[in-house]
Parts: sequence; C-alpha cells; structure tokens
Amino acid sequence: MNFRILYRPDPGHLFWRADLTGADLWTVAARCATLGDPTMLDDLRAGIRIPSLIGLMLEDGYRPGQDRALIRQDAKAYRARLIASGRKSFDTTLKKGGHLTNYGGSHKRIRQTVIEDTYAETGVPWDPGLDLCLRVRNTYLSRYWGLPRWWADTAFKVTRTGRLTMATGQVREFLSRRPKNGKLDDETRREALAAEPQSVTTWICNQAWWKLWSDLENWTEGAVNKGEPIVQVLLSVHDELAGQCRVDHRPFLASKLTSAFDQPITIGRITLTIPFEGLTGPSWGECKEPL
Amino acid sequence: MNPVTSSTLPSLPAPTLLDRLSWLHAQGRLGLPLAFDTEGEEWMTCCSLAWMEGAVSKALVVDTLSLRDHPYGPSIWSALTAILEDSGVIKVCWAAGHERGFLQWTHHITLRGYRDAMNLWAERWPELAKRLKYAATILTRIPCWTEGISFNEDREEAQATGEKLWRYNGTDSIATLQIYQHPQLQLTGAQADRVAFHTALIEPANWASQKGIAYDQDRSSALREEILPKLWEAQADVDDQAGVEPLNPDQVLAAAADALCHKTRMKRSLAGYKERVASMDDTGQPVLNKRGKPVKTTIEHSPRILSWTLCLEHANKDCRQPLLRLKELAEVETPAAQAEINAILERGINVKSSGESSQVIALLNRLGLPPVFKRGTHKAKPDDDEQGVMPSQSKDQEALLSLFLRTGHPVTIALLKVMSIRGQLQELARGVSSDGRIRCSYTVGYGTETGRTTTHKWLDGAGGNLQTVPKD
Repeated sequence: MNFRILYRPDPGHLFWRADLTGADLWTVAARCATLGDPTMLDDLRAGIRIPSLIGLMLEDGYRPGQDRALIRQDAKAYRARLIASGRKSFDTTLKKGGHLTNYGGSHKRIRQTVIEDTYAETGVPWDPGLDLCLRVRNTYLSRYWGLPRWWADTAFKVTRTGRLTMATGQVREFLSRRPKNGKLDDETRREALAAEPQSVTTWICNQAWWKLWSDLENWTEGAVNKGEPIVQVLLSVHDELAGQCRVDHRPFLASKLTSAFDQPITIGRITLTIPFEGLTGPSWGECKEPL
Repeated sequence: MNPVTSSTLPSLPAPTLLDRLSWLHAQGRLGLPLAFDTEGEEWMTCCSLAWMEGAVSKALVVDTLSLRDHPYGPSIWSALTAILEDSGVIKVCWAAGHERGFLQWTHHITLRGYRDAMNLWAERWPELAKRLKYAATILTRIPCWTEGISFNEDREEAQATGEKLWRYNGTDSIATLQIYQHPQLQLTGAQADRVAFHTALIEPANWASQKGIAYDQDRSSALREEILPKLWEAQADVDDQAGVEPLNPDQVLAAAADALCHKTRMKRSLAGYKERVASMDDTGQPVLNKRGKPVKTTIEHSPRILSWTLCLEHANKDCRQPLLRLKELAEVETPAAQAEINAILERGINVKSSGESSQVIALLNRLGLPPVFKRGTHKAKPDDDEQGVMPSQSKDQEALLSLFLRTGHPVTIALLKVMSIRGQLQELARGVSSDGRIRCSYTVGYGTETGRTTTHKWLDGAGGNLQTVPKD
C-alpha cells in the first residue's frame, strides 16, 4: 500500500521527487571499470536495465552482442512481458539477486532477502527457491566478471590497513573486527563492499540539497513568500530528495534540479555524473510526471 | 583535562549572572570557543555554557525554568539569546541539529556560529556509537555522570531536577568542549571539509523539519477504514489455524458480560436482590420517624435476564464502546466479525503479546514447529520447559520468515499477514503536529556508518522516521 499519497504539497504547489535509484550501481560499475571490466559501466551508460538483461539471459538464453541500443530495447521488452504476465516477484528476485551479488551475497542470502522483500511489499512472502537464486547469481557474474576483482581489492585494503577511503573523502576504519588467518569475516566484507556505494549516493544527494539551499536565485527569483526558497526540499530519503514548489515555477524547478544534480565525481579512475530522475505530482506517492 | 571536582554548585544572584553572560559574550567574540547544551522537552529546563580557563574547564548553568516569572527573566533571556544568535561566537554543541531545532521550535531563537563535536567524532570513527557519554568516556577523564541521576534511556531524558540536573547539564557541555578540542579530532583535508559541509547542512535540514509537510488526514482515515476489514479477515485465518472456536450470539453476550462488566453488580442483578432505601414524601423530602431518623423501606428487585442493555448498565470503565461494538458484531456471522469479537474479548491469538506470555510462540510450539531463537541468545537449556515459551524464543517477523523458509507452514503466512496489516495501521497512526503537518528531525551526514542521513520523531513527538513510509 502506498502511504506516500498522504504527504501533500501546500495549496498552489506541486510535489517533486529527484530520484537517484540505481545510483549505488554506478559506484560499483566505476570500481569494476577501474579494475579492468567496463561492462557494467557501459551497460548503465547505454540505459540498459540490468535486472531485465539478466532475466533475459536466464530465461531466454539471450546472448548480448555489441549493440547496446538493441540490448536496451530487448531488455525493455522482456520487462514489459514479465510485468504483463504478473510475475512481479520474479522481477524482485532479479533485482535483489543483482543487488546482493554486487556485494558478494550468496544465493541463500538472495533467497532470504527476496522472501523478506516480497513480504514487505505484498504482505505475503514468496520463495524463489535456492536453485533460481543460484542461477541468477551465476548469470550476473558471467556478465560482470570484474566483480570478484573488486571484492578482492576491497578485502585486501581492509585486511592490510583496516580502513577504506571512499570517493567522497570519507575514511572508514573497521574497528572491532579483525581478519582471521588473513581473511575477512563475511559481515565485515559485506559492510566494506556496501560502504562506498552508499557513501557516494548520499553525498550526491546532500550536495544537491546544499546547492538548492545556497543558490541565491532560489530565494529571490520571483519569490512570492519572502524568506522561503522557491524549490523547497522537504524530505531526504537516502537516494532521493523530495519537496514542493509552486505550480507556475515548474520550469524553474527543472532547471534547478538539473543543475543541483550535475555533480561529476571521480571513483577510482572513472569520472562520471550519476543521472537522476525528476518527477512531479499531486503528492509524494503520486509523482509520475517527468520534469 | 580534569574531572569536575566541585562538590556544591555556587549559585549566582541575577545581576552577577547577567555580568557573567556579558563577559562570556565578549570573550566569545574575542575567539574563546564556548560549548552549549540544553535540557528540556517542551521548554528549556536549563542550559549551560562551558569554556576553558587555562587547563580548567568551567561551566555556567542557567536555570531557565525559573526565569518564567523572574524580574530579571527578560534580561537574562536577552543576554543568552545575544550569545546564541551571534555568528561571531563559536558555540560547540553535541548534535547541533537537535539543539538548533529545539531552540528555534520552542523559543524562536536562531542558533548561529555553531560547531558540532558529534560530527567530528562520527567522521573520525564512523563505527563507534554517537552518544556523548561514549565519546567522553574514551576521550576525556570525565566520569559517567549519569550515575546518581536517573536517565531514562528509552525516553532519552534525564529524570532529575534541580542541582542534580544542573550538574549533569554543566558536565555535558564541559565534555562536549573537551571532545571538540581533543587532538585526535583535529581533522584536516577532505575529512575536515566533510565535517564543515555536514555542519552547514544542518540549516536546510532544520528548515525542512520546521516547515513540515501537509498531511491528508481525511484520506488517512479513509485508508484506515479500508484496511481494518482486511485485518480481521487475516486474523480470522490465524484464529482458525489456532483452533479458536467461534461463538454464537448468546455466547458472545455471556463472554462480554464476564469480561467487560462489573462482576458483583451483574451477579446481583441476575440473581435479584433486596435494597433498603429511604422513603420520600410527595415533595421529595425523606420521611422521618419519631426520633428524626429517615424511615427506610425494602425494595425487592427481581432477577433480570442477561441482555445487552443490562451489560451496558454495568459496563466497566472504558468498556461501553467495546460492548456496543460486540453487540453489533454478535449478529454478523462472518469469520472477520468473529476475529474482531475474539480480539475485543482477548480470546484470539494476539500477535502483539510478547515475552513469556507470547501467544504466537505458544501457538508455534503447540503446532510442533521448530523454535527460532533471538540473535545472540542461548538456545534451550536442558531444564527449560519444552512445552512452554522459552525466554530466548523469537516471534518477530524475521523469525516467522525463517520458519516459513524452513517449513512453509500456512500458519507462518497467516501470522505474517496479520503483522503486515498491523504495520500498515501503525503507519497510519503517525502523529501530526497541532497544525496538521507532519514533521521529522534529521541527523545529516552521520546517521549511519556510511554517512547516510537518518530521520526521527520531531520535538513534539509527531512524525517519526519518514524514510520508511511505504510506497508501491
């Protein structure tokens, strides 16, 4: 049930959302590319929906070629088929499978997470089975072969120095846990792998928030209520900013959000700008109209 | 760095306090960093300013609660506000976001020139707990000052008043200052930039918190009405699997009388009784005998038949509404109605019951399902009662999902459904502020080890963690 529909803008205003969903994946892709595998980064740049591509490879024996525009089209069509046939839980398995595989999760963990997430979404848990989860994981790793390199690189850094320095400048020291026999325990390894993607996504959102706040134009350009910004940030949710602005300031909103999220960041040896999706609507839960 | 040693707190007369505040303001403008801390929920009970004189830490505590009707009250508030709003005076806080939000919300004071020692601590050691007492224990020689003052961890508030609270408050600000000035927290480069950035981000975060979001209460009530029937259908499934027998209308009436009515009065009404009452004349005055004492007559009350009317006459406190609801439901012969009846009469499976009286765990044990234990607790000891509920058994969602994974038993799905719907109802029970808007407070940049921002209940208790509001 969508409870976000209860969060509404003030009269004469619209609600907006700027979403960096999938942002974590860009960090993972940049790290893999730095270590020699640009596949994930190229797929993301081409706009390919990765879980759908994995599903296509798994179910239809699809062999992606060099033409990424075609891959993108095929993945989109596959997803449409999946949703039309009511197999949303299978799509959840593909999404979670990919997400957890990025951070070294096992097929057992994927299964556990899918059960928890389908329960959280629908109130009824769905069990994908261990076999399917293993196949999703293996298919994912067959395409993105740079992932184990990234895992080993991260584990090496934490084992040798006890710390990780992120692209955002954050230095995280993994204090209480020490590697046994030169090997990191699973929990520390997962936390270490998830650290930088989360740090980067949050950093970009916070930077965008600050840019909107400190932009003088956002306070003076045709402002109706003195002392309040035109583009108002009312919520920060990990990979998303949300807020409101007056309906007649929609073009201004589009321009300011684009500028706020235009933040090149260097991760490893790759400099990229993580794209965002801007949507508006009559409530937080009904933001469906693209900017 | 010396621990606080003074055994009694010297009290200052108001003019001296004013002078001291002026002096602190002047020193602050000359570059002396001050630490600042407040205590209080809806009103500032007290606040303290700490500073260093050489190697000695000192704190000045202002009992703001007593300023309300004090002749010097306005002047002291004015002097305090001048310090707090002066961007040229550094005020070091622990969780500056909270302090700033509190001052703005309750006293309309805008805190400027603030620094956040918690941000330094969290940037340096993201993995360590962010409570002041942990940082102080590690970086200062100040003893755990909650000793001698009861501090309610669950409600996160000091229980003491008077001198105990002032000492606690003064020690907080001294500890904050010492932590801020600790060599291990003199960060440079990218880390220092991050701290400065997240401290600056407190301002827009506070603004968002104070502004709040309009909340559609009508739609919320409508959603609640939509969800309630689903809850009872799901609960009916659980009760059915647990073998709870349905009640016919007469049984509902009898159970309601037993559970929700005054037992003695009901028994008397049903059995009939005699009552001695004073006789009244036509004018309503008591009739008196020759000795001037009221004449009493005996009234015989015949036995009454058990009915809803009788139940309502003898309803226990706050039981009138449940009785009326039971009366409506008794005639509706559906599983959902039965589930609601069971819930009111406390005879169904209550998923919220916990600990040793957990009905869910008792049900799972009765159905022969393998026990799931809470993380980090010991499993069953040899002398544990295997039929009863073991203290370390868990019945939360994680445990039920684990059971579902292992056994696929339909009762796990039924219980999870009820919990899920109850979770939805809880979502709709988020409080809104008195102006009908929903708010949350932010911990920007250091909510988690990875730098994520987290949200919490606002100062008036409304809102909550708005990052978990479910979406499609």
